[in-house]
Amino acid sequence: MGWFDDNFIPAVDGVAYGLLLFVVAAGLTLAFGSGGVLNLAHGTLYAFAAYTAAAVADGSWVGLALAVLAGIGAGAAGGGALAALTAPIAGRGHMAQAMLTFGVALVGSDLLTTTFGKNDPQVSVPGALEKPVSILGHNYPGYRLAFIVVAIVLGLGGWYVLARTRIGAAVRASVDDPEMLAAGGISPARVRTGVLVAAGALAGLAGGLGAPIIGPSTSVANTVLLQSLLVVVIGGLGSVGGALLAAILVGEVQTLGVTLMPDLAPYLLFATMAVMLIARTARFGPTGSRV
Amino acid sequence: MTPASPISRRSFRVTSAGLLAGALAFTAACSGSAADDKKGGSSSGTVKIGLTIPLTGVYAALGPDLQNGFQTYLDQHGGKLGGHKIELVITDEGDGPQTSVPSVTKLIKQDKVTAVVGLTNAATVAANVQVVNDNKVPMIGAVGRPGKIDKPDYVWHTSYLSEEPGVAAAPYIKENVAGTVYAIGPEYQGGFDQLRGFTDTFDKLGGKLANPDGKTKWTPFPGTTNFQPYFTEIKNSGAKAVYTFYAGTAAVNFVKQYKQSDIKDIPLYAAGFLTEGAVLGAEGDAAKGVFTSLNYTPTLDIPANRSFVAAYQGKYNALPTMMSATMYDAAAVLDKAIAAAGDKVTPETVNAAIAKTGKVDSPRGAWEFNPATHAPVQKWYLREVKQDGTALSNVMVRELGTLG
Amino acid sequence: MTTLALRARTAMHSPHARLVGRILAVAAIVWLFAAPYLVGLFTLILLSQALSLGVLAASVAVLGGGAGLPSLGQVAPYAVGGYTAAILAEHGMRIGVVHTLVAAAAGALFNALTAPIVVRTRGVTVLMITLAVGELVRTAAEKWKSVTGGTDGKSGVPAIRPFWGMGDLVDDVDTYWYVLITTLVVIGLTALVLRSPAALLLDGARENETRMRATGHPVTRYLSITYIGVGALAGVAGALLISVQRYISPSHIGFDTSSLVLLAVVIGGGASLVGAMIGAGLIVFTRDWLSGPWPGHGPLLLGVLFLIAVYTLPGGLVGLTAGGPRAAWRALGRATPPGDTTDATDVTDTTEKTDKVEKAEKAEKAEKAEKAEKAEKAEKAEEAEQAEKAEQAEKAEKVTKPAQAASDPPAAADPQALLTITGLTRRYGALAAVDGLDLTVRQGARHALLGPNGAGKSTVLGMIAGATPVTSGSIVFAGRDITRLPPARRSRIGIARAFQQPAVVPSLSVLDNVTLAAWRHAEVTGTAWRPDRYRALAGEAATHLETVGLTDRADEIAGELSHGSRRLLDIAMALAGHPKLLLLDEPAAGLTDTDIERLAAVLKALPTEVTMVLVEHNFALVREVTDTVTVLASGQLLATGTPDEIAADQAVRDTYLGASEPEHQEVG
Repeated sequence: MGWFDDNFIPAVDGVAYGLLLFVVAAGLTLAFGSGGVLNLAHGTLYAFAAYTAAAVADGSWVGLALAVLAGIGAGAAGGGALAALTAPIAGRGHMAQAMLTFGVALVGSDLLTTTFGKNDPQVSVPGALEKPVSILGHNYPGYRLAFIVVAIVLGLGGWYVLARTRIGAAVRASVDDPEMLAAGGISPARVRTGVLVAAGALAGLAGGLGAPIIGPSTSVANTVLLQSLLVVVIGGLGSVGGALLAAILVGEVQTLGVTLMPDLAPYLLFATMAVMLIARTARFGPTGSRV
Repeated sequence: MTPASPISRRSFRVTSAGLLAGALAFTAACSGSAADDKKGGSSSGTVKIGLTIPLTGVYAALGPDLQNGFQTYLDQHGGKLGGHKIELVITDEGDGPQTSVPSVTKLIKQDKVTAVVGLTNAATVAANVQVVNDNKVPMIGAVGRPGKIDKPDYVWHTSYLSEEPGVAAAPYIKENVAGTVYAIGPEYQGGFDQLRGFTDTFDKLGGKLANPDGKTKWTPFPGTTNFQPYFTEIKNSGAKAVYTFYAGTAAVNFVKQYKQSDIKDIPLYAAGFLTEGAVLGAEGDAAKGVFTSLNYTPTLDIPANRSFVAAYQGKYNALPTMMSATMYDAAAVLDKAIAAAGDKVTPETVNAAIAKTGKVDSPRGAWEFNPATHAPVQKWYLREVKQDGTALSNVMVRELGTLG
Repeated sequence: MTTLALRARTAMHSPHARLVGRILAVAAIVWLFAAPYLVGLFTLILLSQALSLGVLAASVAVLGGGAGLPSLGQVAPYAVGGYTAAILAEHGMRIGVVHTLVAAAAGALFNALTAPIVVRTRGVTVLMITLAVGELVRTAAEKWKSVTGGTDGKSGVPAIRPFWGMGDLVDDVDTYWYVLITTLVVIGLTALVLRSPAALLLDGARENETRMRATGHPVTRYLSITYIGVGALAGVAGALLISVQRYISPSHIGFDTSSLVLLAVVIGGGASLVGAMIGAGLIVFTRDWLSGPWPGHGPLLLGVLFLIAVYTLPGGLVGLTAGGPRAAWRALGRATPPGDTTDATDVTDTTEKTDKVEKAEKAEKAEKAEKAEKAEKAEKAEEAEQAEKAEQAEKAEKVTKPAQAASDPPAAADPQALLTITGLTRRYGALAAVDGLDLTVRQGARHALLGPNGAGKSTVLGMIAGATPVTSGSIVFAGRDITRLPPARRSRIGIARAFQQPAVVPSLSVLDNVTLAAWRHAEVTGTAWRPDRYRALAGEAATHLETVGLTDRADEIAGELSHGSRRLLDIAMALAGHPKLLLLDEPAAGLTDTDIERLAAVLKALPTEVTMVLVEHNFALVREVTDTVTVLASGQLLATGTPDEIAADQAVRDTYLGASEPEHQEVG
């Protein structure tokens, strides 16, 4: 019990972090798997949404809801802008597009600090969520606990829509094979734009909800990008379950890992990624057809 | 060689012409030749001063505090220091040496400034010591100062030695905390120095750290944003108080998360930056009750401070911070030194004159350089974050004595 | 023969790229030598930094544009080299030449240690795994305080002196000269290596790995050597960083640096060394020099630079001659640029190809449904894997070979049998593409494999060639069990293969292609470094072009040949290995009547010591050139006999001869 008690809070915190990363990474996977864009500006979309949310939130419940919506809107708009920017070079392969998004990320970060200022804004959440909550005798930030609940609800909802509805089936089909939609008479360019907007909206949702947890700052874009890349690679491209497990793993390594093995924790994430890649190469061959 | 097709030949000519033009334009733009480059200096007229301050990175929020402090002094003195019109050249300090070494190099080699001022990050200072010593250009740091500089010939600080906030606070904490203290800080030069000041002094006084291995806990810098896991360890250590040093974003995260965690009721002591300036506004009520030690507080009731605070507030609509005050003092030091250099204002004459500055009438009270360390001999204060009218403020609790 | 002229036509040295590369190089070198008299001190310091970063970029260019392994991890050997140099200087060893050599060795050693995990990956996976390697090294640099100085890094590193007896490099101009000379030497050496015939091996490995393995080339070994070599290059770049800045910290080796360097390479134009150096220069000057008037906005300017570069320089700087910026703007209007925009090979090239393959595969999938096709697809993924594993096995095997040779079971009862297949099975999950096949091919036979789509014919060929792993059963060739032998090794003992999709190295000339195929089978050694030997080899290889009637097209680029000519080249490449056993997979597919006649003549003219196994739908051709026919259905043997017997067989007619259509989509 002692061990459990000592590590309870980091473990819970890892879940909160993991769920947040999961939402971000879902957008990254969508953009790459379905839109064909390795989006290195994905973290910037998160940052944009988080800054926007911070600007909108005023400490009231309505403000919080508006902030999340504003975050989604910001992310989606950013995704749309990326779709427009990458459209002319869509035929030039992953590398050209990745490079373009990297340029966008650099420009975007600068614009964000110019627009929102260099002081990292703090997100005002309703007073009730600002207070620590007691779980099993421990204090834990109320907002994070609420976030875990909301993320689980959203996740279950998303899973239900994807797995049990016709819309979900269509989405899955399009992710599985984007050209199927094209065959159905929808222009590939519109599918691509749609996918990138949706991916941006996911980053925006994460940014809006996550701003009080991983707040807007000058460095947040890079942090979020690298960690969601880790989640996607460790989890395996296109595997939702894998991504969820990977996200929780990445979250826990940064929380539980810090308390349990502080010396190894910094290496764990990228070492895990390397091991997963090697294992997958051994299984699927070196062709890189599966990331 | 396979002959190129006519088309590619034509465009090739266009390309090479373009490249050639580019190279020429570039050469012209870089005007001047390295072979006959002279040092910066001026016998009369404008003197260039370089500011290297964080414009990007974790400490970007501190940039305006620094720049505004310096500017306040200039504004009060008609844009002149020592009778010379001052031209400011600003460069970015970024997250540390990676950005700041090129920045300081540019100020010295390209802009040929008479002095370099600013530099928040102790690691930045450490990496640039050699640059300024080699080039014989004075560098006046206004914030972080690494503990050990072998040859501080051209290095000056109007702030403090990085150990001093901890050294000043340790006796008070030893007296007032009944039990062990947990020490935690960021894993870089500034953190090492700040925390060492506390832990060494505390240890000498017979205090015991609560950290399981008896050593300070280091958090990765600048990457750490989530402190919850560390708080769990602090809780488990049974500490009766926590001593730390964080600044900028990290300070905000630390304080806000602290007050939502299991250890929210454990007293928190820190070097002043934890609750200084914009950081305090961002922390809000979470900062209430945090004790910090620093060489300045805007509520200090002396004439020099009153006029400084009034001027600063009048222009920037914010309270000055310790960084504003030290930058203000850096301008004051340069004012005296440039005047003393007389007709021949060169980096070397200014540097020589800085050594003879004597007492500086500063907003934090009079201080002077310690000739050995090139840092101020000054008073230290213990402050507590309290509601002061509508705003939170670092209210002075007591003096902690003179160091330096 | 004009073979050496052909060298100019390889991907890394396409005529445009090469010409521009040369002019750029000369102009740049002249300007660099004049720079101390032309530019200010600060600019000169930045130039020194740009040169150091440029060497790092060059290492990424060779790896990405040359070997086809786009890397985000070259910062790792860079860091190793840099810290090594810093530590040497701190311990009193301050001779620049020693620094350079030791740092090169350290970088090479580091890459030798990581090579096993990097060179077996391809495409995006390479980026990810090298990213992991780079980040792990950065973390180590942050944590290993006693050696690296932790987050703050090592500052105040003592000044070095270039050589014994020379003075300390404290003056910025002196330092610049030192960095410039060192850079020119290492880049010059690298350029020499890239201009040797060995570079052809990388072209082949990058563009058609399967073909390279099938002609006996140990591709993994080539990639490993390259990877280790660029480790040395990056190590030197690290040492140069120390001599310029006398400071190194983990912030030099993060994701930021990796991506900047990769982008420098893309801006420069993929494999071009000069392009990479100029790209690095552009980045350093944009970030540290142009940003002067707007302090703190260096990243913004860099971002704008990348946007401009992506839109206007599809082939990088050296690709400018492919039409220049105007063509690039025109290309913006088109959904898919024409294939030749990537003529000046860049990193994009590789990924683009992957793209096309992916798309083709998807198209295939959408159409499909036949279970065997799925199998075929899985097979492809595994082909390379098998080759990979096999190459490892090969190494192990070399050690134990004598013992094994002794314990080899005697060949099948038939003394005339060259190839004996027993119980051969290949499963993809529950699906058996080939199911317990027994087959004997006589020495000198002309043996055809027939069967409907999905009968497993190609899979059988794949297993004989070693590209497809065997689930169970055995393959005995010339009295030796080769069931587990890697494809490159099978090629060297006399099994050659022509592919269903002609497998050529598209950017090389026709003659270079066939020379590459002859390379591992020739008596000549030292071909990689000796142009004269390469020329001699090419002279021999040209006879195979004559055999298939491609002599007058020897100078053409293989990728630009018609389908039929590529098919003939593919066969010439198979013949170039002087095979005992020639495997042909639908050679007549997609050929014109004239080409089929030519093909038939070639096959009929094969010397008797060459045994042939042919998969073919064109029964007329089969009748003309073969003496034995085996019919497969659902992975099992249906019938064997002479072509006439088979033609008369009712069962065969029912299952197969009624329907004949191309079995596969074209998959690149």
